[in-house]
Amino acid sequence: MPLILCHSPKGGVGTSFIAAGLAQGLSQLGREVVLLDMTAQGGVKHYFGLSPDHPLPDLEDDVIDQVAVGGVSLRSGRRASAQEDFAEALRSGDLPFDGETFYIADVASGDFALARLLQRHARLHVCALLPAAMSLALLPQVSPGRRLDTLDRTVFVLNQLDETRRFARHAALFLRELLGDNLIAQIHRDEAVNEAVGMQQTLARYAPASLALADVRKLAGIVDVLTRQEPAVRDEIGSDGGPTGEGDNRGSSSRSSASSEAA
Amino acid sequence: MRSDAANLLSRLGQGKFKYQEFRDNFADMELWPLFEALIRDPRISGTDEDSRSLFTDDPAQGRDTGTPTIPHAEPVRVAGLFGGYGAQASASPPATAPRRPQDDVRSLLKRLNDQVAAGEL
Ligand SMILES: Nc1ncnc2c1ncn2[C@@H]1O[C@H](COP(=O)(O)OP(=O)(O)OP(=O)(O)O)[C@@H](O)[C@H]1O
Ligand SMILES: [Mg+2]
Repeated sequence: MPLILCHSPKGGVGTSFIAAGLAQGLSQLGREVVLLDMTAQGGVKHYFGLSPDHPLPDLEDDVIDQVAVGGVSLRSGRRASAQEDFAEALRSGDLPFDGETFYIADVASGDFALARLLQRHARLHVCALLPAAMSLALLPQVSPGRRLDTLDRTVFVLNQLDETRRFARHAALFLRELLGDNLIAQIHRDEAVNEAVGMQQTLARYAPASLALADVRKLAGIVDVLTRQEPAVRDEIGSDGGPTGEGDNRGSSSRSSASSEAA
Repeated sequence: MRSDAANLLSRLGQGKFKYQEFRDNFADMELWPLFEALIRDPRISGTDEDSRSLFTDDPAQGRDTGTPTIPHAEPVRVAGLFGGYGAQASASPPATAPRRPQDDVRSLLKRLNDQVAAGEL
């Protein structure tokens, strides 16, 4: 059940952009991908060239009115997640986070309750950061009590990196040290991201040579490897092995290549 | 990147802009007390087992280590996964021995210094 949770304690850092880019990148790699917009805003569709008034079918709706762009199926998980039995549905496996399909959940920054709930079922939690002071200042909220470079299923992506800015350069250096291999990618700040939305086109269509596009594709490749290597929580039920570090080893090769990328 | 810029760069044999002129003095890093405050923050250094997220809606939930609905064979890793957002922040000690914050700051700054000196940064 490769559910990938995209959530950051800070809003406006590019969580939706990264969720969209991951979905598009994984789809390009041949994976079946469903992107779940779990936000009230419903903004992620704009990275697919869709209009503001283009509705997304709900997670639980019949699949007749599919909205799919470039192989990515788009759904709103808003209604489902507002229902009282959503937690139970997740728990009992009612929601189809299984099989080969990647489910990528875009969760609003303030929605910690939902993020926490989905995190329990997620193979990977991708947390976007900006190289900006306010983004760094909220880092202690991500996983209180655990060093951020020792987290097993939470990884970080530094978005909107702009090396012409002094604080951004310093923040990038600092984060590489603080997060270690858990900083799996960095995405450059690229005005084409904004322009593509303005053109109502995907970034790949509008600016195929975009630096941010190349960065996010790289990220998708890393996430693909990480999610295939790390076992789902459910797979581990009944095994009595205790912490063997197995999952860590399986993740390590790709992560070290990712971190050399970031370095 | 716009395609005209990309074309220009590819003619110059560059995939992307390189800001080589922005070499930072290591001393500049000390400009930012926020960095040091983060390293010293017990929620990040792993020294505060009682800390939990501001967003925990039910503080008692954070101490509920017996959550029967989340079966998992690896308690320590569960703590890492679910410790996020305060769900089980105090369930288990950190996987690795906590570093002393004082050492953290020094060793971090030293590592950065070494990298700057080696021209890696
Ligand atoms: N790499 C990038 N380069 C340039 N602009 C970017 C980049 N990533 C995101 N943006 C822009 O930053 C803004 C915020 O992005 P986005 O909406 O994806 O963030 P978010 O974290 O999902 O925000 P929210 O908290 O509102 O949901 C948007 O205008 C987007 O176009
Ligand atoms: Mg968003």
